[in-house]
Amino acid sequence: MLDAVIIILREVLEAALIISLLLASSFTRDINRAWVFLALFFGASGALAYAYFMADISDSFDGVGQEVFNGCLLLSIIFFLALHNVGVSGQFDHSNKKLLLFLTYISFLGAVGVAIVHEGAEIFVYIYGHSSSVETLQPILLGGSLGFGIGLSIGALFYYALVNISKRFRMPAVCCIILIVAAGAASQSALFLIQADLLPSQLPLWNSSEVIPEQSVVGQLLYALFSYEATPTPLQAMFYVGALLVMASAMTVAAVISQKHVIDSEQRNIPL
Amino acid sequence: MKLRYFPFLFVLTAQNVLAARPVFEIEIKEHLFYPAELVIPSGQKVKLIVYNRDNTPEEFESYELNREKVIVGNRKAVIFIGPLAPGVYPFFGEFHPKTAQGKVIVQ
Repeated sequence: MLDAVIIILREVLEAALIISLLLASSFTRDINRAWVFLALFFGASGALAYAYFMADISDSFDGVGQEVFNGCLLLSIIFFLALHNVGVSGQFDHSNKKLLLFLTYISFLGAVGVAIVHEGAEIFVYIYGHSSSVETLQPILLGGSLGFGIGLSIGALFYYALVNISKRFRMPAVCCIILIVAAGAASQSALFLIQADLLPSQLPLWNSSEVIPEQSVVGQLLYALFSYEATPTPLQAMFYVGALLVMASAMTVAAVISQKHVIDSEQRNIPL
Repeated sequence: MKLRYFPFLFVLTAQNVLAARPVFEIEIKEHLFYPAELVIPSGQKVKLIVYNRDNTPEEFESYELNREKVIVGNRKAVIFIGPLAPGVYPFFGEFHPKTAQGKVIVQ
């Protein structure tokens, strides 16, 4: 039963941290947090579908379909997180309120929904794999519920830690953490493509398993938050830094453009 | 672009396709890996085919190898590992971690 606790906990934690971040963002921007229920529903449905078709998806692309699909899921998460951060940096609150709100909801629903599809599929496959008899299923469901509860609690802790940051620093802090999460997702997608031999593989840059082993509690927490790897390859590091630079640039461009828009309107005395 | 550069570019981009990866096989039976210890050469990428002979799914996972893949029952999975420095790299079946354990020995 203990194995089930840890397995379910690991998957739930990865999704819970993204959900907590975006809920904190929603709360700070006075946007109704009810979107999370819709995202949970879509995510769970998608996860069920992915689990159901897992065998065929895995066999596609010469046997590396699972890596390709996971890579696409991660790229989608990065896109939605980038959309969120650009929406915040752009401070486009003044013009086109409805469009901004729509895009904001898209970024919330997209990031959370896809994250749940990615993690939830593995949970469903695991539970289904033990569902042949009640003797095997019961400890799995018990342990799984425990793990689910622990993951939720950690997510809640993270949410309350975030919303307790003073309002002035809250959105910058949330956006910075989202930036790091997106970079982690980018390096993880590189890892999947390396595993599928669609990207070249190299000897690792460093080995930090003496300092923070991946199997330790800290290592697992760091992995859940931003894909901490004890032995990353140069290519993974490049994806990580690349994602950071691209997202930071997009955020800067959005901020500059929206600032110019505000200044232009003020100079021409046009109400925004 | 001058025409004579094209063969060079083709070879550069076709690296992965032209290089033949050595193939190794592992079977999962009754939540155990056969062979539990696999010896592979160091410094090159190898293709690992894991056959899941059980009816239930398993997840091939390894922290040291940085690999994880779900293998549905009665199916196989293709996983590429390496290049690796000589040493011992344990792996396990995440869905049945107590029994499904093995290691890759790189020489």
